[in-house]
Amino acid sequence: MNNQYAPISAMVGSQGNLISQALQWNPTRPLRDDQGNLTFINTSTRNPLASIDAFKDRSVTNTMVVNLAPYYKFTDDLEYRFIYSVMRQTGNREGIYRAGIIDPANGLNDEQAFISNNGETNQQMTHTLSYNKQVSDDWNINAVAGYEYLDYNFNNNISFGRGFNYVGLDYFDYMQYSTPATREIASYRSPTNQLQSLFVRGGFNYLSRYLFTATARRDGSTKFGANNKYAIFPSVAIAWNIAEEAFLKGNSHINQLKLRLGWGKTGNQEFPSGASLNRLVFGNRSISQANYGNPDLKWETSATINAGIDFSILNNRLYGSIDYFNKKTTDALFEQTLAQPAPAGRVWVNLDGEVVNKGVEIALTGTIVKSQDWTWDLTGNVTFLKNSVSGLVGYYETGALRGQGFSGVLGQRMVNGQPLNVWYLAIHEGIDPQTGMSMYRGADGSISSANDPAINKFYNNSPNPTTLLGISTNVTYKKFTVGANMNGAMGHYLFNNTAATTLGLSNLSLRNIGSSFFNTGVKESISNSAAPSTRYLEKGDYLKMANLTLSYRVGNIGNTLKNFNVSLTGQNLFIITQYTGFDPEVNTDGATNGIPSLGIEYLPYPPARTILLGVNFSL
Amino acid sequence: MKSKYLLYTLLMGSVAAGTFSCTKLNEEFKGELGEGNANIDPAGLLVTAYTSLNTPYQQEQRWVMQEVSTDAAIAPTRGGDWDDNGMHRAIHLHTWNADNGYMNSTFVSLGTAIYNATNVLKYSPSAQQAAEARFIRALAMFDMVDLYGVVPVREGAALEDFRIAPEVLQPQAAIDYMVKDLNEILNSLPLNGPTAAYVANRNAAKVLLMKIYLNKGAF
Repeated sequence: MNNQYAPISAMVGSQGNLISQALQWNPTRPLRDDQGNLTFINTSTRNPLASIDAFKDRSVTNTMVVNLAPYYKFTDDLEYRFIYSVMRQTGNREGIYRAGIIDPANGLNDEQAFISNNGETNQQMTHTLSYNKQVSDDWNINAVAGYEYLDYNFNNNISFGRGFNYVGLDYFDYMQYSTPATREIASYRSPTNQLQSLFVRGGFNYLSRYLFTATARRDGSTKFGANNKYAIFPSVAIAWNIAEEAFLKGNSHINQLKLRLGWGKTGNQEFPSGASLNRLVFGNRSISQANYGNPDLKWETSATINAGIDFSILNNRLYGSIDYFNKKTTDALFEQTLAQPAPAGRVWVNLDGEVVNKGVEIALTGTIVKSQDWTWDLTGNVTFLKNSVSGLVGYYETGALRGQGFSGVLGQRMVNGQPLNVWYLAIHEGIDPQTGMSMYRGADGSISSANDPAINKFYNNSPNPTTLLGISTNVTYKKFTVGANMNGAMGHYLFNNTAATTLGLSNLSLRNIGSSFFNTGVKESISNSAAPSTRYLEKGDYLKMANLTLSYRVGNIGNTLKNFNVSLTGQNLFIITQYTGFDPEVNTDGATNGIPSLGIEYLPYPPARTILLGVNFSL
Repeated sequence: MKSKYLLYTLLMGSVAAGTFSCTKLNEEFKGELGEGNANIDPAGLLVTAYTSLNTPYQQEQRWVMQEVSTDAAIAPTRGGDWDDNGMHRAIHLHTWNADNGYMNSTFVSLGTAIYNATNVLKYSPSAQQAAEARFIRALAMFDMVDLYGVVPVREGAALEDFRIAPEVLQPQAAIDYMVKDLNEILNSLPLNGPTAAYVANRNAAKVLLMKIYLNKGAF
């Protein structure tokens, strides 16, 4: 796989990235002058075409996967199966930065290049023994026992140098010409990272009406301290096929009715290897302690209860299911601040509190029309969910917001009694007609431009959706088929960081502004500073046409081409939303101190609308 | 035919099982070092102690705390830029609270410098290496007392186990600690004219002692 990278990272300073440079470019100024050269303003107002020319960044990734899965049947009931799989992936990335295009006065003799390689080897091995027997006419029992082993390995290296000047060649092909004092090299190999588990599952089926399954697995990981490498995760589930009971069998209205109940625990060990040990890392002729070890680190556990009903009525023309779930996560793995003096100031611990995710999921599928030539079916599913966190000591800040005037700004918190990543922002109450400055709500309830948004902040809404929606439908007429898939989410709020710091009125008179700031009812002052406030917090409700496909089944052509199918597909065709940014399905990385963020938009590359024409056949 | 398959499968399974299965799940470092390693060179740890002074002694940390909190400097907004959620304004007007970025990051970086300097002493350094490390620690402690009025120190059990809270020294105790440290290392530091500009020497220790005595009344 070959990749070309463009300068569209969100981790940029005041110069912005390609997206912000394109948004801010004065549209009346030509991008190229009469001779065809790129227009140059200065190093902080960059020509987006110059950014594209200045960065050359490409990579090649090779992946090889090997899978073996032989099995042997001892008897009709007993089977042994062995699975072995290995994935090996290597990547090589090279890049150049032409500083002379961005900064002709200083950069012409200080251009940069890097080469980096990484490799990953993941292995999995599983042995299972399964037993499946119809003991009598009424009873069927099944059991599985198994052992599983996983191994992950990662390594990388990078070399970097600067001091090049452009002679028409790629600098990464002659790195030895770089100035020796500017060279940097680094390499890394991950510590051992293995998982080992033993598991058993057993269950019975009585009269095909009463089903019971129980499993237990004992998982161990290298990442945890000596005391807590292993943990046991059980689960239990029962199901009652009510439609098979005497009182419902043969019922004309209810074709299928099944009740399901289950409880289970799973574990999580996704944190960097080495966190449970005192770890020292190498730097430039230096050794430093990277973290305190925590030998008490143990598995994060999530316990889920779920109850559901599956049904089918009207001669199997309408079927669906309703599920309730409640997932409670305890001993959450978290990077907690540490009393100074300390290396790095944080340490991985298991939190005392818990995170609860609960909700209801409803899915329905119906065949609306079924005749000789026409078929139309419609499937919809909706999930209502809610999450909350408790047991945290104090609050944790995350959600890095960026741009000019937003250095070091954090907009979200993890705190008790609020949903995860709750927004913590000032409340914007409009522009003051007298002064043109923003007015904010104070803690005392007053509304004035004298209220400082930095010290009057409140918990406002959350970036977590409360409702998730999916709709898909298929219409068939003879040989034509139209299929559509839509998805949506509601109840969440997104922070439009792009509008806040890249498109504001203070851009005048060198840069372009966003249309929502132009010709407003109340005139805003150009010295009005942007602040992290609800002015840029927008509802993210949307419904998107994810794909729409028209296809025509030609059939067999001659004797060679069988099942010939022509299809026209559109992806990301339209979206129904009030969100003013590029696309509400956005999540720019604003993680801070290891805590992830959610729902920030900052200079993302806009998602593409794709039209595909395809043919499908077999020989 | 059936026995051939059985043989083949069992052979593959046992070969693979013999190579990989039933590990002790020991975590081994490949590009890093664990604490028990006997090869840890205190010279490398001393380089870290010196470079950890880069972070706090910068515009964005100690300088802002010292100068912007007085009338010697202000950080005005320039239109839409430099408002930064009131971070600079709070320092100038003395309205900071617990989530002010400067307060937090300067404290953490001075604390990290103190930790990295103390860490050198755990790995059998030479007399001069130990003296340089203790100088770095005294320097960071001086600025910690100057800015925050107290200094947390990890020694003994608190240095090994993060769950034990460090001891917080009040100003007089901190002054006594620093003065004792500096006086003990005077003879182990190079006299003057070191080989590298950043290496602590006897004059540096004397100047730091002077600063402590001059500021004693204000702490």
